[in-house]
Amino acid sequence: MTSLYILNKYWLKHKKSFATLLFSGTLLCAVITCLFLNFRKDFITDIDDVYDKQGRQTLLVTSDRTDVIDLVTKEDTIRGEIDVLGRTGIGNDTFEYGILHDPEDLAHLPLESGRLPEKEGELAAFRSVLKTFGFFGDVGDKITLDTGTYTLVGILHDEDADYRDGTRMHIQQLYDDVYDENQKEIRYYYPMLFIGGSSSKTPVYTWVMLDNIKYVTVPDINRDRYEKFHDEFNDVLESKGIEFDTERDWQYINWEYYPFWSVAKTFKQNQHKMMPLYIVSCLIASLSVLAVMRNIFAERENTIRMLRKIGVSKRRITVMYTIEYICLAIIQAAAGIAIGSAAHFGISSYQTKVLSGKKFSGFTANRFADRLLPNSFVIGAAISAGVLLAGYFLAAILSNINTSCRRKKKAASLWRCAGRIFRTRAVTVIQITALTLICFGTVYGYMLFHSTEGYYLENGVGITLENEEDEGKFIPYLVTVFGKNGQFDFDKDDIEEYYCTDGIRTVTTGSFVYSLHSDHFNGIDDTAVDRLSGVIPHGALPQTFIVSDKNSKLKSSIVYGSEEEKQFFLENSSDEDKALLSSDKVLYKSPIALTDKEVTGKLSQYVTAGEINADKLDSGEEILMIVKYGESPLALGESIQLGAAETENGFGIGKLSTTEVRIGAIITLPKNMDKFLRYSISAGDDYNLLTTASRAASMGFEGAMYTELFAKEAIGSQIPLGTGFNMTSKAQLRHELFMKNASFLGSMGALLLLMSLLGFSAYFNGIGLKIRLKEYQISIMRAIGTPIKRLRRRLMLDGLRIPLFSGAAAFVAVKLMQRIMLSGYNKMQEIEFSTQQAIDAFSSTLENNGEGFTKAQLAQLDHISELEKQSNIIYDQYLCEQQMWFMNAIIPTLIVFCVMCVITILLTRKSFRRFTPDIASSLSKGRKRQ
Amino acid sequence: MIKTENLTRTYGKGEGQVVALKGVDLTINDGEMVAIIGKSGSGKSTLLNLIGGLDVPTEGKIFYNDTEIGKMNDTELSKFRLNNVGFVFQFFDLIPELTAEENILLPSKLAKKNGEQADGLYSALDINDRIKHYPSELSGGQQQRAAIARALINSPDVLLCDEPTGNLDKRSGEEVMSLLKTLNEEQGKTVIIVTHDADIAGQCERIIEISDGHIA
Repeated sequence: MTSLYILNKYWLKHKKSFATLLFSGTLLCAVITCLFLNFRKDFITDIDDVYDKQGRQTLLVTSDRTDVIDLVTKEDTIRGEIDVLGRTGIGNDTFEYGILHDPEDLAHLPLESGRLPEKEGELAAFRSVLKTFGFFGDVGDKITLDTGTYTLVGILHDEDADYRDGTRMHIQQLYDDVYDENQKEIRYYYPMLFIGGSSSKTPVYTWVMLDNIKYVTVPDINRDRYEKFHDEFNDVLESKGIEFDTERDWQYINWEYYPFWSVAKTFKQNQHKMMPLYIVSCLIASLSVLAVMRNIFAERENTIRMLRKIGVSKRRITVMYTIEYICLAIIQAAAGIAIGSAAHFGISSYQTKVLSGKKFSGFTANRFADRLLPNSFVIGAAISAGVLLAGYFLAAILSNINTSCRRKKKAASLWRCAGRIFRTRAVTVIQITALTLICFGTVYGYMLFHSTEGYYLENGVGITLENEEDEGKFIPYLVTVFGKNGQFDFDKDDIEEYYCTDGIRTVTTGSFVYSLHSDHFNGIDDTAVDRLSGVIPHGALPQTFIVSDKNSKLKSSIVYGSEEEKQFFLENSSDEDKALLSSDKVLYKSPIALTDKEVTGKLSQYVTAGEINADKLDSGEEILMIVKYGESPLALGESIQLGAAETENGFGIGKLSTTEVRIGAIITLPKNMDKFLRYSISAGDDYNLLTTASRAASMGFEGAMYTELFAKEAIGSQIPLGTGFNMTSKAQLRHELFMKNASFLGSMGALLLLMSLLGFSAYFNGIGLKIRLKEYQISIMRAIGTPIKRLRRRLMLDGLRIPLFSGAAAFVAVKLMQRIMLSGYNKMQEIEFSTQQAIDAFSSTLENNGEGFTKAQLAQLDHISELEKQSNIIYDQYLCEQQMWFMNAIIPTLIVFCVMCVITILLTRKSFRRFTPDIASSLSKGRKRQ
Repeated sequence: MIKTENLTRTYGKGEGQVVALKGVDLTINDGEMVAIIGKSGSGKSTLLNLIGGLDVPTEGKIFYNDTEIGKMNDTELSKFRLNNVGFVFQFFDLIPELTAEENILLPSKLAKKNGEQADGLYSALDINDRIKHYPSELSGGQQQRAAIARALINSPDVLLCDEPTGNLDKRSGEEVMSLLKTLNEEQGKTVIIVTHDADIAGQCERIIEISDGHIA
């Protein structure tokens, strides 16, 4: 009780110290808790990304294999089913459809919008499937298929579907067994269409999805474990006398091994570059605690001495501090966990609600995360308690060290005397470490962010710069690029909005392009374009051709895939078309670009033959010839027979529209002309024809619509409905960039801010402690006639050596880091060079090898694979992607150094406020402290 | 000449306020050796600190040769202490990180003087062979002699001694008192000694007794 009484008295008297210690410890615990909760959230998100690609189930097997299902099922095995009812669709376009019974979301279907079907008459389908049906609507619309009319309640995301393609071959095998006719390649192991409710129809077959099955233990993230599981499973099956045909039954085993390998890789890549910052932050937070502890112990040395003098045993003092330690550790853990959790909740809410991220947080239940990641709360409490304990030990050790430097020499100068008086090595070490870490962390953060804004040109394996001087040149990422192949830039080209739509649907056979007949085409016509101001429209008809003879200068004659195909076309064509296809005429691919009168009017300066006659162009009498490269294949005034192919069902040429038209003018485009103008009138490679959309439509070319619009100002509200345009705008891209940066910069900035706060708190504690420890000496100096200003100035100058030293140390550390990264990069390049040589050597052995790989070749392949693996590891470990070795670290270091100097001056001034004009009392206090 | 008018010093506020000195009027002439006596907590050390500019009065004035030191700022007050006053404390108050010599020479370095009389002081105070030692390596008497040497290095006119023998044995105390008397008699220094030892006070020309913050 006496111990508690003394402790209580002490803390009541030193409330500020107590608060500072609790603040530092709590913050450390909060940082770690929040950090690990963030790790957990990222991990769960990464797992979900993997599930998006391959579903959640561990084992996918058909329901007739009850023996296998029974074997692997245990008490807490999760089960889901998909009853495949058959095929449905429109006409020949049919896909599997089925009912999903999956309360645990094992199928993990990637929803683009809406939800999965629940009631009868509801339907969810992949976007690509809907497009195949010619359905361009949205959730809520009705869709009529062979099996009935459904309400579309959900659209599934296609992007991830390719990842699920790996099982296609296995599924094909089963599929072939189930269906006898209408064999078509399927893309997914899941049905393409999902309906709701319960069907009275007997399923053709049922997929059983199982998760958390028997014999699957937590795997190590390595190949051996995978193999082990495989062998174990086979052994068990064999011992039970169960026949298991991998091709037929083991349709898809989603190994725990595999998702973890993927997740671990993604997780590692995401966290790798931030890891130095995490470590630096934790170190700084720990230093902050140590600095406060040292401060407190400096204050209580006298108390301990006094307690010992009045007969309190060492043991009792130890017990006293142990009780204190436990209390502090519990309080800081509780407060830290609460603050860290709240901070994480804020961060994850921000990421979910503002940045539209996945709805996960570190609190989301996930058994894999539970198994593989340490508990965030435990780790936060444990590390902060550990640091506090270290603080006790360190402070206890340091308090017994006499830090004065004793040299019996001739009396030193005043400057040296002052230097010796104010020297406190232990505190200085803490301060230098704190500032060095802040400086390093900030410079590293700057470099990390800078590396996300662009890249540096460099010579490397397979890359040789044309100009040697370009080595190391910084190329910023253009964030506002758009258009096909990203050839335009909103900023540079002064465009505000860009509209694009699919246009007419075309089918290609051989080199024959023909449009599919449709009642609706995306895009807008001349009338709609005329109503829009400041818009450059573009459209193209890829299915058009010119009928000419064999001697024509026209290029790209249309060829059929095969003779059988040509025959098939002929059989499915009209009599008129048959005559054309059977004649000795040649059809030359000749796409027509569409643009409006306003743009056509700007072309007169580029006319090399004839003149643009708007009336004749409008009446369909003439058409313009655009030549981008080489000479015009057609002469001015030459009459051509122009045609376009269109089909009803995708087979044969349903309709060959042909019309006579004369070349009114030849326009040769220079390379340096306005790129929008050039783009808007171009359609083919070397040359193309040009007319307006309405003229083309009146000539019988269906689907002649403008499918791209470049707008100088926002025109969103003026675009008619039902055009199918997707809009990209400068503001939208900027917003996306902002969101992306906000996520990265936000978390990094918060970390840096917190790190700096903690670091400066440790630093400030150091300054305060130094002055307090030297209060006696300072008071004597004042008593014998030293003005306080002079002392303050001396201490400030003394203190400025710390940022100077820290800045230099951080700079050296950054340079060292850059050197290490560069050495890693060079090493990687050497390996890549060796890989290239190995690939070349392997390729040379492939000739005259018609019977599979030899053992030597397989060994070569293994060697190549090993080299690639090594290269990837180095690329990740040495943060090669960031190219940090190119960056100039001097300027950020200098900026941080200046900030540290200013803070040193301000903090020293603040610490000196403790000295009042009452030197006597200060001397007396200092004397007691000695 | 040192003169105080209505000198008052209080500590704290409200109910916990302590009046250490209350309206003290005092005059000490040049070359006087004065003892200030009184019980513990009577305010004698406070008076000495106020006279030496180590503390600022709550009320009243302190004049040093007609200059009011209460109106001086920290820099002026520091200069005043450096050149005109020498302090000798009960606990010696030598800087532990510096040798005795460095401690003694410190005021002269601060005043940008060469400390030419240092050697004379070492001999006079009999600390010649101890000047290279740190305070912790010196006896109490030696430390106090070093503190007196430090107080005298800039040849101040006034020596303020706060219980200079309080921490010394009888013999060392007598030596220190003899030294102070010599300084007063031979060099005409004004010496003010705070003590509660009647014997020491008896060696001074004048005794001022302080009781409850007043001159008794």
